[in-house]
Amino acid sequence: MTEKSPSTLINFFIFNTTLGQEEGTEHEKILFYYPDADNIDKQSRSVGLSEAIVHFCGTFAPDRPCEVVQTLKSRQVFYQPEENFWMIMALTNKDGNNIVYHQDEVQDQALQSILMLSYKIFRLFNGPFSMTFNESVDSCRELLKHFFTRFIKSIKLAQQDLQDVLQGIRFLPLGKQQFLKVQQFINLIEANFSNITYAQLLFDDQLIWSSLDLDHTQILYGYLTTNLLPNHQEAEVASSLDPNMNRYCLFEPLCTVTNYLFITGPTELGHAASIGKIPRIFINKNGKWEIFAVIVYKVLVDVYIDYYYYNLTSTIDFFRKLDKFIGPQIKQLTFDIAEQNIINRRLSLTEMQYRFIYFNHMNCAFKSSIYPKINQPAIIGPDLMRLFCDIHAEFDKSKSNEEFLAKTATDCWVVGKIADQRELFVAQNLKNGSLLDINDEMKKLVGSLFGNIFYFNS
Amino acid sequence: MYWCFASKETILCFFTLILIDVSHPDWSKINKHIFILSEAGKPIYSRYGNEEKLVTIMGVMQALVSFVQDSDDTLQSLVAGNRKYVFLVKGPLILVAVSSLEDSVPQLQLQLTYVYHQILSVLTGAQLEKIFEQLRNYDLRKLLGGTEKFLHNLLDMMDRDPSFFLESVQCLPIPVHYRDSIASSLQHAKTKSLVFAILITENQLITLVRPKKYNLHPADLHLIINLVNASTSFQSCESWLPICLPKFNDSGYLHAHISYLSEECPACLVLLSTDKDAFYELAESREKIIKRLTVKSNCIPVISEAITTNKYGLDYIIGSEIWHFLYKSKTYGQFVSPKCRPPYNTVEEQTRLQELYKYLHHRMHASAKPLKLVYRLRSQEALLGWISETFELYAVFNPLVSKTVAIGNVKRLMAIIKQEEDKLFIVNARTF
Repeated sequence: MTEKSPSTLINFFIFNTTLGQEEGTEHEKILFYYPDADNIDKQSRSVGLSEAIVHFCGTFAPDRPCEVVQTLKSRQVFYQPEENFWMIMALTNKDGNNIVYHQDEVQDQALQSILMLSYKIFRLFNGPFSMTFNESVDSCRELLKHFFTRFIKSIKLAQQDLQDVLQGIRFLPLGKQQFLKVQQFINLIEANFSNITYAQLLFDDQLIWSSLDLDHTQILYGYLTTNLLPNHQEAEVASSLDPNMNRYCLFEPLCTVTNYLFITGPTELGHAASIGKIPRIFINKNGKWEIFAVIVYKVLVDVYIDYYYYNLTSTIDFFRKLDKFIGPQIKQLTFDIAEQNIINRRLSLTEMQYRFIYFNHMNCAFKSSIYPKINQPAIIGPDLMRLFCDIHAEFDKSKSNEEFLAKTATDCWVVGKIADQRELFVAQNLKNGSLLDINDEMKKLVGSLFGNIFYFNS
Repeated sequence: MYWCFASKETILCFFTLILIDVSHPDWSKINKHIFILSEAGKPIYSRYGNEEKLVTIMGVMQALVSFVQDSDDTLQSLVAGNRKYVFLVKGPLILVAVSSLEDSVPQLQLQLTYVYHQILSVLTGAQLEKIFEQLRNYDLRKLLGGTEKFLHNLLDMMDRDPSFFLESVQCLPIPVHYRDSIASSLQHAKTKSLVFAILITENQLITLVRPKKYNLHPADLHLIINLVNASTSFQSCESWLPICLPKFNDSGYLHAHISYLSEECPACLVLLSTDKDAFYELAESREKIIKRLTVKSNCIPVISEAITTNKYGLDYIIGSEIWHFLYKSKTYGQFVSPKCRPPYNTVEEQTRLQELYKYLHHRMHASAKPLKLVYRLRSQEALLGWISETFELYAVFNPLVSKTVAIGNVKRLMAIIKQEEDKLFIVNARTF
């Protein structure tokens, strides 16, 4: 048998159809192209073919743009994030010495989710494509190059799965009492600091509260939990290993004394100069894109994070006031939440018996025993995961309440259920089990884990 | 003015067939387009619309295919929403399917292969290659003129008959001793040049006799069935025509003697010979067969009855719980399926039923992750797919039926099929 190599990226490009309309100027359409080692001719050909395909599909169904192109050697995914803008990514893999694309290597939806996510993250930090494009095409090219060159390096093709497709949020369930306390705390902050517009509260990688709308919450949550916070943690671990590093030595007294700090914002409240660069994000507020700054405030006791958005100008006085205000209140709150988290962990032991993914479309709530932590690879085999993705794609298409049970060639059962916009996927090994056995098993699972969700009990 | 007798729908269909082009408002509503063009981009066939008017769009198709070829690659498919665009380059031809039905990409590729084979059955592969070698820009319609109806019929059949995606044939249920004596009658008519003797009715096989050394591939048999189905002229007289069976031999013709058993019996006898001058020889064989069927075994009324009443079929199993099924025996390479009853009693619902089967078939056979069993409960019906070493079963249930009841029904069904196996399938392969 020949060795199958994993999928690799051939190219990734973004173009605008309104540019380079005249013959011979087609290359002007290109806003971003990876790899830049491809010469202009090759780049223009790729863009030209993509545009021709888009046009061709348009003659049959103008409202359904092309999504996937399959050739013998490659698979291309298309995404149109905004009018006239197209993002395209092509993959290939080798089978021994023959280049033949394995159709089932990575699921289409998972591939498209890479494009969609990259666009949304770009938009979060830079606003929509058209915004910079309309100002200046050249600066738009610069901006795209700056962002996507880095993004492409972070793509992990082999790991793309249902988690990436769903872009779910892990919530931390709280008791009524604690929840009211959290709400009061947030309300107090928003009332006392008029320039704080939105607030989000996280415990570890679990979301407790967000005053942003779902779409923005989802994308910002994804960015924080998979990018900013893990990076920060890594830096922190590195610093504790290397005490000679000056910058982190400055940190030390602050950490030990107060136990909380700003992740974005001043590293030292005594020094106005230490505010540093605060990330800016774009939020669509009532149909208009507005710029906000993100301040992330972290309590060290239990990796407890808390951040705020406010309108731009920030002085060290503001941070001092904020720190003084939050500091005393947050201690008790942290304690309460940590306690609740311990109870939740005990509960999740029952969950660990089963291998499942739960997702609620209404609030993007995501729960799973398959991923040990967010952003980590699943503990079930890639074949089962692909089947999960396929079932999800089918549910997506039919948009009604459904149930799907299947037995794989290796005698593993895979079950998918969708009811009232809630999806549940389960993988279960049942040696010699029949359809009725797995049905009973599912009833048990739903009873013990989702007993409160009426729709699953049918 | 035949139109006076045609229903409004047929007339509408007829006009759509002729008048539609890319700018027509109904263009995007058509659920399956099929196009054939030459490598040079010359239109050869379009399922809907006049191919003359589709020169531009076919030009685009040719450009896309050759553009990808230039970089030493092959364009296979595009997906846009629920619409699939499948490309198949075969010899000097480019075949394209654009479908918004459930057909999967591999299923559409298979259908395009059938379309290609249909063309070969008229021209042979060797002739097709030669024509385009001599003149790259040749207008193939000159040679295919008059055979469009076979393409149309084939395409319609593929949308409503599961034989194609199951890659097998359905047999007319008939008691085994009758089938045996029919086969013996066919065997007795052996002549020097006779290769295959086939008795079919509509889309069901009654019996088949073949040489020891050769098999008749289901794909070739489907072409023969399509040939018989698409034309009414065989009913009136004995016909003689050349046909190329691409799986058997794509470079030469066989010669088919086609006739119906009698005016009352809608069973069609196809005798295939290697000799183009063997008409009288085979006509004589036919006489012998009919004589033996009437005098010796009195089989003709049995065949007629089986066709009209479906007395030996499985229709009685269909009820309020199990609505429809397909059972394919891997051992015999044949399948059985009951007639459609409510809720599948309208053309729309029957098409939808085929869509369900196509979906289920694809779901179970998807190459990287084949499944042994699938149960899918939807609002309109419950679907079951089950594949073992010896059979494939696809069944549709009332969605309100519990899994326990559904499984009970399946067990009953399997027991009945086992019991009636020799009636439902051709269990003894006959050779000359």
